[in-house]
Amino acid sequence: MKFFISKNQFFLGLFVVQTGSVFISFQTPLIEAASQDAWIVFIVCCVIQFIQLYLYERYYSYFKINKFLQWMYSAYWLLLVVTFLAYIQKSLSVWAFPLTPPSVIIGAVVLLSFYANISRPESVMNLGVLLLPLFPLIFIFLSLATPDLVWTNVFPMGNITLKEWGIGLKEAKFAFIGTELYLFYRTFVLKSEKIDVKSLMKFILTISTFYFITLVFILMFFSLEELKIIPEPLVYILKSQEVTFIERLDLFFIFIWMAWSIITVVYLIFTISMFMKKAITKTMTIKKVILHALLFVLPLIIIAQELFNITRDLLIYGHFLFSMIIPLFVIVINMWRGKNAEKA
Amino acid sequence: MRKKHSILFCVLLLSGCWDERQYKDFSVVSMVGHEGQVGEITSYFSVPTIKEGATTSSIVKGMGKSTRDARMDADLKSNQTIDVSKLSVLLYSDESAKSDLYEYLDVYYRNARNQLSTYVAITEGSPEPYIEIGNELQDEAGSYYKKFIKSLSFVSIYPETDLQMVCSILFDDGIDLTLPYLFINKENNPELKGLALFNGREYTGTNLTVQQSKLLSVLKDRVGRRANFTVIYKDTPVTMVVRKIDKKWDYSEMDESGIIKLSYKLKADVQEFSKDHIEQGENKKELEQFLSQQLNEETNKLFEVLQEAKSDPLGLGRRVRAFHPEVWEKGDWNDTFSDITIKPDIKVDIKRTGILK
Repeated sequence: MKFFISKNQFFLGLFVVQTGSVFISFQTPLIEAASQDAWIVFIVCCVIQFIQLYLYERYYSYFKINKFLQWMYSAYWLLLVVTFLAYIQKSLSVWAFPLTPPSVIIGAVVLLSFYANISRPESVMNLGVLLLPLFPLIFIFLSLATPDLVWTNVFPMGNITLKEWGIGLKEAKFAFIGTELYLFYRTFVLKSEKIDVKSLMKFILTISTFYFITLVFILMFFSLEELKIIPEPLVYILKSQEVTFIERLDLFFIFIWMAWSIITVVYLIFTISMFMKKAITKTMTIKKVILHALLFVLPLIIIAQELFNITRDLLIYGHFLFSMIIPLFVIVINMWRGKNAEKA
Repeated sequence: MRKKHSILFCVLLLSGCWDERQYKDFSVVSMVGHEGQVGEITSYFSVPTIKEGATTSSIVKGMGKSTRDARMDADLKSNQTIDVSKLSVLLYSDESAKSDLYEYLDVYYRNARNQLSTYVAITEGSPEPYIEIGNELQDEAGSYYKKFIKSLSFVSIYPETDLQMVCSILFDDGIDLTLPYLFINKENNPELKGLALFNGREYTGTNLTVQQSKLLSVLKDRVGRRANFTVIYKDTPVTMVVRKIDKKWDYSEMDESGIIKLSYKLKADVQEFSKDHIEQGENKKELEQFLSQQLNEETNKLFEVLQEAKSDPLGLGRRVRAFHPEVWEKGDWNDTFSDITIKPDIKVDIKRTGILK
């Protein structure tokens, strides 16, 4: 598939994919694991994430995978999209459409994704731009809750055990799911645009600040006991705000999040499609129809069989495997092979 | 291509059809009162009815094992399904509030449609007569009591606390809840008795007086538009209004001696003092000292009540939890709170005296 993207498009795409569906929900499991220290654990996780991206940037040219691994990655992303879709449906049924059949909600999202994915690749890559005006809106809405924040909630510090640190880091890392896309899309970035440490730092600071603000807001708004019963605290904060221009701020926010999640799904399916061979041909369209049919059926199975928690757990471990372990092996092996070839 | 777009757009709109809710199918109640205990709850719903263009309200009673169950029972007595998504005020009888309040409230948090800006109050006895009087006074009891409670925050008796804040406080071990306590006076009107004190999730049975409630708002630094205090100084009434509060809580002696020092500097205006000439000689200084002494005495009495009731509505426990884990882990904070020494030090600084000297 021949297309090029700018550095900004590349980082915006990564931002959207990583934040996508998880930014309203990663906080609760993280705070449950690390209590008041969740924010410290998250900062450490951001440092790890920066190192990971730095290593990606340095060695991405060695990341060349075979057919088998391509299928493995496709299967992983398929699981990711299917879980996202199930989660989108689950959240929408609680917050916005309790009586609408799941098949209608998932069908609408999948249909949108299909439409986007049969369009030009450049169109798909530009979808993230639609979200740009929404970022400040989220923070403006959140700021309404500032008078209700309790700063002592983030103390005492440093009280968690090593085991809680481990679980906390695992949950914090979930916020960066999809980070392996860096390795795949990096080769599509225009050669004229250089990505240096400063660019990486800017990106990681942006995404970390975005997450960090939501995390600290939640920590300071709810007591720890209360958080145990609230799976989507960010939406709950907005629900508790009374404004004159809209009756339910949470509903407004949930639609912003839905748009965000749909774009994430589109990006991920687009990536899977890239592995299903180049160019948009007629046969490719049929393959995409099959892929989207799968995306319609599988989330419904997850919902019907109540497999959501299992797939979510699988994804956390999958994230470590596909974003850390496999890239490490592939890069080291390819470097070693390269050195041997040079010697020969 | 245009056809494709239209179909796609129509499909997206379809998702709203299932969740359509029309007002004609529901009876949107603005106020609910609960009494009894879990297992045997009686709920009173203030249901609006429109007759010849005018809105009147009647009470529909429901009984059940839980709050939700009682509503289902009330549904059987109404020609429309009762909807609590626009609830303005929730009333609980004092006896009901003496058991876990969250058990009655859970149903209001669980549904995304319910609004969280609802106010909660406690009534002396059954809430039924309060709703009846409210309906008589202002067509809809809900809007009457909403204004009633909102006005309490205006005069600094009760800082605005909605349903969401109630939940946060109920789940927080470092602070206790207070709710407006209403009674029906001799003129058969609802009146505020003061603030009901909670210990954890249960009403203690102790109330603060209106004056103490106001003082508590000052100590919390959550005063409304007016925070007036009137005292008798040299046989003359003096009314001051608190304009600005500088507070400093000192926990440095907490670990060793269990002492918390609360220092406040109140910048106040004099609104009433018929002897005048405040600025003359030592008058102002003497008046400031007197006002400070009066407030300190009242604050000491306030803490006696709070400690006896083992209720910490000021949230002193939050800082203990954050910075003094050894004290916090001694046991239940409410028990620890009743044993510690609290030393208030309030200094009044008169800034303005109106357009008279």
